[in-house]
Amino acid sequence: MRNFVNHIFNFKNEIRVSYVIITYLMKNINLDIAQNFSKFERLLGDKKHTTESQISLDKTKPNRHDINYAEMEVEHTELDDKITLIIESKKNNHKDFKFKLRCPSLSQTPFFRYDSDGPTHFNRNSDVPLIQQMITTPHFNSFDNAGRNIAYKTDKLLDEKEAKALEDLNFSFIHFCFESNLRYPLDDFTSIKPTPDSEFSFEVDRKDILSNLNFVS
Amino acid sequence: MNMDGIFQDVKNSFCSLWAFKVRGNTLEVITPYSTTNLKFISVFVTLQQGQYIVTDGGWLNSSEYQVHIDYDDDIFMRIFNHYESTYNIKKLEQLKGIYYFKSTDRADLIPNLVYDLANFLSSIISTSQIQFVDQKEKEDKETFGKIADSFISGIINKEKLKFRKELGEEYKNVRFNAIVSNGNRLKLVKYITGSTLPYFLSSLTKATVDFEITNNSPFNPFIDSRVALINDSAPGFKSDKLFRYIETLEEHTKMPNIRWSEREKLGELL
Repeated sequence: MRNFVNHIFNFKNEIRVSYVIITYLMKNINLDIAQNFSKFERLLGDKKHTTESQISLDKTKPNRHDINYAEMEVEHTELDDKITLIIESKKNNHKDFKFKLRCPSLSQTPFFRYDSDGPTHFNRNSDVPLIQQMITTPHFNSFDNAGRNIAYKTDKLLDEKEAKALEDLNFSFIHFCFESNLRYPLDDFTSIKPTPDSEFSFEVDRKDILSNLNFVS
Repeated sequence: MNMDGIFQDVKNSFCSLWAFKVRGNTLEVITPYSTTNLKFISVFVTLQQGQYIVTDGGWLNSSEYQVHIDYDDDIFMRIFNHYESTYNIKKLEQLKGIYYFKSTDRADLIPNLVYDLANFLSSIISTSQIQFVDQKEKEDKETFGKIADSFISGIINKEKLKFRKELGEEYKNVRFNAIVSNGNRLKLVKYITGSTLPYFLSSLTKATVDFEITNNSPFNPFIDSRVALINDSAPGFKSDKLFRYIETLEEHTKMPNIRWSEREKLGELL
């Protein structure tokens, strides 16, 4: 009888735990970051440095033929956790790129990200007027202490002239480094070699993502 | 209560959620339609040969909204097909992308198209967040799919290869993980996997039925091979319990299945 009661108790507990996990998933909560928020703050805020002076975007992202991709180790001044810098750039639109910092011992999802282009983020919060919840790209993606994904624009991104200058991959990367306290080796920055030389020959502004498509047959 | 003031405030707040970006000859319209994974829907408007085109810009299928559209999930696909037909959405496959769109020759009807596309995308993206199968099964299936895609990409000329494609317009629910086309000749590949025996069986029987349908379709004379790629490293793979089912599968593929552990054979077959 006691075993049976224990079994029922455990079963109910499993259901409760599953329910909590599903609820968090549905609310887009990163539970790993919520539960280790002080570590997240240290990973993002403390000084870090990249490990090479230059990074070349010469690989194609696995399973994504349209994206150039590069990775580099990042070292935290005090924590030993493995941290990786990931850079992605669309092959047909050099103004569409992402920088990510990932620490697998904290979360599989990158803990900090910059999107130069792509969808507008919805910082849903019932206490904030609707218009303030809409964050267009370019923007940074971070987390709050409840593990909610929060997008934001810096003053530079809100300034039209500065935002235009930040369409450049390397200028943007330096801005990303300031936001995430990332340097090479101590006070400078890793530079990004954008794309293989062969792709420069036909470099154009392809922000028009529908050019070269024919919808009318 | 200031009825008019409240109404104006609601209306103005909603309207303030519209935004746009000019992208050369294309206008990106950022709409107030949102998704449960916290994105606002963008649609793209352009003019081609007198036709106004409103499209998702390929964003739905290229993970821009950070969702995985699982074309193998029957329940999800029933919902997808419902919205696709309700809003009369068309599909263009070009430059290795999938573009959902609507078109009109009347500028005054562009808002109608924006409304339909935005509703369609918002519904589909939010629905894709719902877990219809258990998480482990979903992750295992996605992982095997990525590894197998990567292996096949390495042995087949990319110009001839398409992943996750349906057999044809009239066979929207009959999809293959990979289709190799050479002129009008076709080779079809279906991945079979499962984190448990029941999931494996479900994958196996779905593949059997899909291959059977191809035999009775107008595409039959053009199909050179039907390859069932069986993930024999999956936890759900129990060869003794699957024997009869695999026999039936091979009656429809008309060739022996290929086990993942002997995947090098794919080089000769494809």
